[in-house]
Amino acid sequence: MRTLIRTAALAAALLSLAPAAAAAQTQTPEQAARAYFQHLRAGDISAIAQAMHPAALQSLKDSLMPLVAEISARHGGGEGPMGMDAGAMGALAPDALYQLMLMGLFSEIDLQAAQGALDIRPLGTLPAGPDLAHVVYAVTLPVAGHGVEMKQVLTMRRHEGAWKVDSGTGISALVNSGLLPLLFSAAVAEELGGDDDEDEDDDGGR
Amino acid sequence: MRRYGVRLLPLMLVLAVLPARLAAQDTPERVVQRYYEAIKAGDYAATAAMMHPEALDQIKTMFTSMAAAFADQDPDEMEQFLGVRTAADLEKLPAQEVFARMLKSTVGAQEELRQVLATAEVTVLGSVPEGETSHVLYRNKMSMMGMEMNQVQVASVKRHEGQWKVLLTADLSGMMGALGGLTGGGDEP
Repeated sequence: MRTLIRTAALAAALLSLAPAAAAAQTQTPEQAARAYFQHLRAGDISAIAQAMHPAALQSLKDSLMPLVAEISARHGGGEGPMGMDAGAMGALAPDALYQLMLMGLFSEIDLQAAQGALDIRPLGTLPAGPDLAHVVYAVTLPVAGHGVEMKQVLTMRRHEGAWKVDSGTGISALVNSGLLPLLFSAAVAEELGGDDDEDEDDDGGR
Repeated sequence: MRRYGVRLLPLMLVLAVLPARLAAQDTPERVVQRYYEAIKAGDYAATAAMMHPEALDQIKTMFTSMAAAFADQDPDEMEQFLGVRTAADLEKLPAQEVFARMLKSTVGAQEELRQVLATAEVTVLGSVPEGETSHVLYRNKMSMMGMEMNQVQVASVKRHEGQWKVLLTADLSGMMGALGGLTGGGDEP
């Protein structure tokens, strides 16, 4: 019961946070990508989810639910990931579930330092038909005080007149949505910062 | 007979120059397609030959720094990985050879990874130019641990002596700076 109440409260909060403004219909894929990166930099989970293509979010949900059910079953049908059971998560709309995942991800890994300092520079766009375009961008990550530049692609697909981030199908959608550089940056920072702890753990475990 | 020789001379010259001209006409897209075909085939020498010298130098610098920091601790592992026991021996190797050995001891040594790569479908989509660099986009479909991956990725190429050569996707020099704390080296932020 407590889980259900928590789920309902979370869903209500997520819905109230959703921005009312629709994406500009006249944006180019590159402009839409720039706007998306601004949301990513700001850590605006609601705006990030709004910028995603609904089909990508649906595909992500379809791929994740069997895993969620498995984790939940391992806990005797009780709480699954993020303190929710599979049924409650399955009842969420794909965009609400995505926001929930981002909240979980952002709280697990310290992304805040990396987010604010991200330098993202679109390099150009490769059109692939009237409703599909790939935006190439360079992202400079702050890793332990140094800038590391990576080249990445953000695929944009038109949906109801607006360009949305199409992160593809399945679980790979998580890393295709521009999150990979952030996760990389945070993981390296954690590795460098947590070296002593890791040694202690290793010693303790042997 | 001499006349035939004189007449044939231009043809011979054309034939001699042709491979170089064909290579110079290679597009960024073709080079990236061939690069992944070489990786899939496990031809790491060919893969390394297609890399840009800047990229190869970055790789060699990274491994030389790491070897200087760690080789004394475990020369056997170093030998297993790169076929040399000391940082000084590694320094003597051409950068292209270091990269080929690295691929062989990582990708080549892992059967599962080789199988994943062998079945990967790489379809080049086109390129986005940026100055003297060209960013080639390709769709990579592969199956890994039972999961289907379908991603659009980018490989950048840059001209070197008239030929397109593959660059690294990430700037390793920055990464080495960041990892300086681990290796005891690296430059200041």
